[in-house]
Amino acid sequence: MDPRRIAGLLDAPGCRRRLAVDVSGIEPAVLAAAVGAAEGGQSPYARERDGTFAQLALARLPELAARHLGVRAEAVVETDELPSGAGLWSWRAPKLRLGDTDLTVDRVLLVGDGTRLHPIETRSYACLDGQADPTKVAGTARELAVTVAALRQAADEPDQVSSACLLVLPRNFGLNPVGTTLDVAPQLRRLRWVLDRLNAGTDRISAALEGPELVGALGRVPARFGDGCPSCAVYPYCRGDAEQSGAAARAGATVANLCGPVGLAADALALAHGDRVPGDETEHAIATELSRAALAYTQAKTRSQEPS
Amino acid sequence: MSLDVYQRLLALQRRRAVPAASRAHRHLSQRPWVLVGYHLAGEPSAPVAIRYGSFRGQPKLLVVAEPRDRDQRFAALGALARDLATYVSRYTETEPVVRVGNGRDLDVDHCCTDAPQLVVPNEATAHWLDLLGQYLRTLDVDPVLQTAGAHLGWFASRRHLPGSSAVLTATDLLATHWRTGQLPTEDGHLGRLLAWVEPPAGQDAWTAAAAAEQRPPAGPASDPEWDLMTLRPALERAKQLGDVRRLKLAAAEVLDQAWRDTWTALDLVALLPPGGHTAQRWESDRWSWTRHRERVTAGTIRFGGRLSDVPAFRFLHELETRTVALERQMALDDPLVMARWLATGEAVAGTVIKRDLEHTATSARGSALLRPLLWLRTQGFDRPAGTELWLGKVGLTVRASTVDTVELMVTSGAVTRPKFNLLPECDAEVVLAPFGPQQYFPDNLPEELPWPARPTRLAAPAGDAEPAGDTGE
Amino acid sequence: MSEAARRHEAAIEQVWDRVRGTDRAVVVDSPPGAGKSTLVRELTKRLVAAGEHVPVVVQTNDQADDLVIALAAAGLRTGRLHGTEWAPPPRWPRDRVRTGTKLGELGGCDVIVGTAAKWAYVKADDRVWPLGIIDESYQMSAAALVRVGHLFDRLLLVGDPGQLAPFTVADEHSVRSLATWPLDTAAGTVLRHHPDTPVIPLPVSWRLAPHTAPVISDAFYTRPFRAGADAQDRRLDLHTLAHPALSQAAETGWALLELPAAHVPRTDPALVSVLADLTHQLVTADASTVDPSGGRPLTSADIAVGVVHRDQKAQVEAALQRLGVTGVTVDTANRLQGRQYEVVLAWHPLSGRRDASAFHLEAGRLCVLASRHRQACVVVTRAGITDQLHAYPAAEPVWLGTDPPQVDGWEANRVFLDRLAPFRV
Ligand code: SF4
Repeated sequence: MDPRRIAGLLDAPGCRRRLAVDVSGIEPAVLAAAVGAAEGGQSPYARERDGTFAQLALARLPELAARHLGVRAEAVVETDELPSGAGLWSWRAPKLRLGDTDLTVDRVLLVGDGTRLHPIETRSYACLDGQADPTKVAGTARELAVTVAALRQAADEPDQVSSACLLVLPRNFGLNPVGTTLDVAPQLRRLRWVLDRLNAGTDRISAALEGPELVGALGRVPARFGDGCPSCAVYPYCRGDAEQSGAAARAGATVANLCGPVGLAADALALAHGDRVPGDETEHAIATELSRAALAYTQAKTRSQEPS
Repeated sequence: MSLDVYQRLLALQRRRAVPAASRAHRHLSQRPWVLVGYHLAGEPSAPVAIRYGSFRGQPKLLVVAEPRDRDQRFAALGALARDLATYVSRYTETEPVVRVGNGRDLDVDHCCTDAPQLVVPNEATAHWLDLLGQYLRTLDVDPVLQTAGAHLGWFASRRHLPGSSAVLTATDLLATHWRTGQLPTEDGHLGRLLAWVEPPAGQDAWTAAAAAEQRPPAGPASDPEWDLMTLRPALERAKQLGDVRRLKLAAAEVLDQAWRDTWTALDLVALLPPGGHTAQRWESDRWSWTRHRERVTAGTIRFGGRLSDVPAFRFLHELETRTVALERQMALDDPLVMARWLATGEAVAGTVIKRDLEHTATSARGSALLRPLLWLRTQGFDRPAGTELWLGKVGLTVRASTVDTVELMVTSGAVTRPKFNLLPECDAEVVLAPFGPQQYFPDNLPEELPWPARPTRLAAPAGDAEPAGDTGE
Repeated sequence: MSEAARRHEAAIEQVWDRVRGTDRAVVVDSPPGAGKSTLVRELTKRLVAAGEHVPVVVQTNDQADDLVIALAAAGLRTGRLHGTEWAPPPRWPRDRVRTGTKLGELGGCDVIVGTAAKWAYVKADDRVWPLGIIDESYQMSAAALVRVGHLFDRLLLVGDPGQLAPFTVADEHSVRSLATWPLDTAAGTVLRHHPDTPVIPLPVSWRLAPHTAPVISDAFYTRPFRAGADAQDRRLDLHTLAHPALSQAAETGWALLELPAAHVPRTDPALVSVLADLTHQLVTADASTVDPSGGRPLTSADIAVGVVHRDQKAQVEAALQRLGVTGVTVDTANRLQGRQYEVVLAWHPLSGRRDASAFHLEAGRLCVLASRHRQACVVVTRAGITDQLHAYPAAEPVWLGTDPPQVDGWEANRVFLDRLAPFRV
């Protein structure tokens, strides 16, 4: 699996369906076809830009490593194992594992300050005035955490790999590379915990399934629809599922939080309108909240008709 | 808040958005400048196609045959800049305004009678225009471009201020006034959102929203597939044959939807009567525009990077004040918004059933103070004694309550007989809010940061010593 | 002198040396109940004895009043700089205390105490003091520091880094997009801009007991501390038969009372009634609190119910009123900061939620609720918090150039829950 896929575990760690898809290694294209998702893909222009920038950034790495980590290195040196000491390395197709999973990475860039290694990541979203899109940076941080965790597993001494990474972005409106340090310690902690809990009783789906059979298998794994879903590969399916079943969670986490065990929108509204007798004290609490909202809304609509 | 949840549930069940406001809480210009467009993937400074104008039937369309080519890019941006200049030149008329200045003197100041308004489909487009403004300001090729950059800078500076209507995004307009039954992040998709608010006849929101998703995105990022299949061949053709017709056609086709949707959003909000404080908030935009124009004319306009030092703290203060003000003003203007506080039980609605205007309380010094009492019939009030409530400027404190009555003591605003006319009569229906009139505090900031908060070395963003020339070439 | 007392004294002397030294600023990190108020009083006394006039900046009127009362009792001529709406609290000292809304009215005072909001209106050309003391400097915002910083040549900043950080109603995304983030604590601002500032941690909590201090220290603090009291020093005696959670807490200092897992609205009526019942039992249990200074009956004033939201506060207060219980403090974490009680009943911020949120995960919130007690703390919650933590997406936006928080809310919650597990009822 690639780091992005594993980092995806941090997007919605509470959803068993999502975990099942990720740990079962289902091919994204197969999944997309089965659930009727649009071919994601990247614009040809974005791809060109990525490539150009990666080249430019590579050439400037010695300078950036010196500036941000105080490391003097003439050039990036190819390596085929985890290096140590001070320098700049490119490790092509490294054999990395995370737990029992093979990690597929084209190349890991590393800078060593003499005691510790810092992973380097280049991305092509802009750094404007020293600030970049925080959502994108968060995504990068999650993926970097995966790389750090795998490198630590490969190292004799986990501490050898630092969680402080060097992120290289194009500056402002051009393609001039700038570096910033990015500490992924929080993401790393979260990743560890998710991975620790992963193997215990995760649902598996056969990676051989396709089309309707795959959809059927997905449907048998419980899901947890919420605000993070649009970024998930199964989203089109789960959304349709939630719509058809009338799930309250379809309208988001705030709604799901208040409705609690009352899973269906219709039931929640019946509680709100007094058409359903609360089954227990929880339902009673929900009914109290929602019926007050219903009353407030109805009265306010009348009031809003009056001239103010 | 629970009202929000209830409305989303209702929307889910009805398969259609429900109203969350009964007043228009944004100022709608008679003549907005609407803009939709695409830039090259990953490159905000390289516009591909922009559709804009003040009349929905006559949009202008700009296309750039070679978005990465400096000259072509500047030519297109130049055209945009000139049209923007023409648009904002309508907003120069001022009127005298008398203000109480220092002491008792009356100052006469001049404020523009109206200000420009930029309307875009979504947050991302608004952000793109911020960036484009920044980009234009880094150029020194043409003063027209720089002035356009300055104007876009003004829009950008207003955009994050709660209550400002200088920049409207169609998604925010709709999401402020309606509640859907989809995920809040899905509300950021103009097509989907509109499908909930105004689904085509005979369709429910699910179907309409799914259909909207199939249509081209509202920008500023175009669809990757469209880039590959349509844009690339069109750009090639334009480049080789100098023929932009195919590009124009393709762009017009995909941008058309966003263009129409943005105008529809304006139409829908225009159906609501304006909220009581909307004009007052627009006045603050007009003042800001007046000052901006003065600076542009005088050539004294400056844009730094991100705010730091004292201006950063001033900005924070302004944001805080405006956030609270907007929330309260909207609630006081609009029963549907006040209903949020009724739903949580923080506000109380009821009927006055009894008054005791002669009631007195004893002060700390032992004298008798006039503190009228009111009794309200209500439903399910569950707040403790001591809770403070407001009826306009009148402050009240809960003394006691039962399941269906509340006893309140007037503590401010109407504690002298001449002010008793501010108190509601028996049988009056009232809504008591958990907040009173807003108090404004000056920001009271020093002119420069004191030593404890002053960086020993000016904190510069990473890469400070980078050479200039990050302008996309 | 006990080992703890020796270390505490050593820290105080270290602070004093620094205060008399040349550092522009000195920061004292004080965990809950580490003797911060005593420290401020003691240092003020020494400074006055050395002939200095001492301005003290606090954050709330209550804090100012408490400090003035303590300083006056210590024999210092104290001025209370206050706003126009301030009224003296009960038992306000008449001797040695002057009050006024302007500096000019406080002539002859050795110490002047006021809130940051009030100090902000003092003009610098009035006077610049060689040294100012800022109390609760982790509760104070950078914005407040900016408004008073010019009044002092040097600063002593005292505070508890585990408290809730200052809060803003402004949209974080807007602020950060347009400005370098101006929202920090006063202490944090000073440390960022003056990285050489010495930080002296107070090593001993005199409030928390030996069995409760390590939990708080591990979960919420980067600089560890220990309890000053001995294991046998304190006791909560419940004479009548009490709820198991209360007896557990009386015995071990902690109790984790879990109601059956459920997703409920935040005004969870079951939690309201459990909290009200436990409070009612405590006030009627004929309980007494014992420490080395002796034993005395536990009164309502010794008890606090800590909640998360104002509507929870309203519901609990209303429930207590129905049970006829008066005099018990019910308040949100925000307002409980810096206060101390014998027994605290805490509403766990994550209780009954389906999804955690950044607000509910904030380390300071839980820390405040869990560290106000001297004798015992009962944490009441719906079961299922571990699942919530597990399900929480790691999707927080990351802003370049900002370091990750020293204490991560998610991690703190996890550790706290872990450490509390043995005390589950
Ligand atoms: S879309 Fe949401 S519910 Fe469906 S698998 Fe993904 S995370 Fe789970």
